[in-house]
Amino acid sequence: MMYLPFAFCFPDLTLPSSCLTDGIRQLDLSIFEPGSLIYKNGKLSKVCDPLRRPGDLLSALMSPIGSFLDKLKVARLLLFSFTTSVDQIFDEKETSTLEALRNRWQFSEEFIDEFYRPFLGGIYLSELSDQSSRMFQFIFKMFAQGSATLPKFGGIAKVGEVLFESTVKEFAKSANNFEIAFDSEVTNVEVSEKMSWSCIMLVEGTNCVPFPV
Amino acid sequence: MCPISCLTNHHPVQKQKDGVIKVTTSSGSSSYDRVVVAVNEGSCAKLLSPESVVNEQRSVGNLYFSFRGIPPVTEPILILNGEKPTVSRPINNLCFPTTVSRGYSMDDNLSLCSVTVLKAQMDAFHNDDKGLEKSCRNHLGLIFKDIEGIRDWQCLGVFRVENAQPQQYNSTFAANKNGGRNCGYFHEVKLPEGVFVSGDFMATATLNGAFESGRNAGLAAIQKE
Repeated sequence: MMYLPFAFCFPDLTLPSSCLTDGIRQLDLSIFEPGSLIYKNGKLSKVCDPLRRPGDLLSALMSPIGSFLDKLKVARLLLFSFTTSVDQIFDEKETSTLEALRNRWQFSEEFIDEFYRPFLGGIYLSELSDQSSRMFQFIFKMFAQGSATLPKFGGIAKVGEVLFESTVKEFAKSANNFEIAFDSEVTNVEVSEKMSWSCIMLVEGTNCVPFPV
Repeated sequence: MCPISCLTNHHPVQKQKDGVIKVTTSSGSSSYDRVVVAVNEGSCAKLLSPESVVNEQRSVGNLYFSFRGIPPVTEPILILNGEKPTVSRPINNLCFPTTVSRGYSMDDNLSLCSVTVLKAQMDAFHNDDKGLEKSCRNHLGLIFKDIEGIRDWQCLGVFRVENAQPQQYNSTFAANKNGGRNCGYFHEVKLPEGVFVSGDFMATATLNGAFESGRNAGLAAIQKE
């Protein structure tokens, strides 16, 4: 399993070049502990992941967040995550995440509101009724099998920087002549007659990367 | 200065008769055999399909605080607000990145706190970063009520990320397509040969989706005819 920031992993994706693996190594990812602390009624309580930290089993059972039944249902959801592929998750019937949590997984309203709402809201930046059940099950699988991480330095922006650097190295291996323009408009990109064809990537923001292949 | 915005409305990407793709900027034009458009859905529509109806974009706010000393929570763990956020208690989640990696501080005695605020609360403080900062600081004081000195934490910045993520549910082209959509099409309309689209809106509303769609477009672009 490879780790990308905040549990964005590539379970089914194999890139043909060394860009990705080199990039991930350079990120030197640091890992968050599994589980989270929930602020409710003036105190912080821990939601544990005893699968990855078996020593937390007792804490998980004793946590005031979620009823015993909710905890059993989390176990059922974890089992689903470990036995269902990403492709199978995206083949499932789609509902809103709120509907899936209520009707399919049958979590209590209290647990949905105090755990899933802030957890998934912080990832997908919207109400549970505006989120896809497939995306919920996908991210739950990522968190169950991977870890939330941060690059050792530079924050999430470092991901783009490192992958860009890796990509430039790849280009340098395969092409003698390429040009990268930053903070400028795409202008006067000359294509050598020797090249059979050229390609340009228009990247949002200020980066434009013309390159021959 | 965004090169893409220079192309919008008046100068869309077009396929010329000789089979070369002409890209026009405010300062001139260039021609290519392949073009990968890696922008958000709204900019993509302006370039390639001005009549298209695009999905909503999700926005988010982040505030960063630095302070001297040990953070209130020393474990590298995510902290969630289990109470529904309000204007006076706007935080959705937070963490202390210096507990995950010391690389987030130049000084061993300094700690960093990262606070996330969702759209409804960000909108309530439209054009009022100071008010938002004050409200978050008060909320932090409630969450970590035993910690003194939160009023002295230095706010390093308030960031409003408008195009943070594409809509993922309840629309025709929602960003929930595992593996990514065909990069030679935009909103199911075939693009001119040699024009490819990438972006999280073409796959899933995740970093994973952004990479996945970028890979699809990159592979299509380097595939010679």
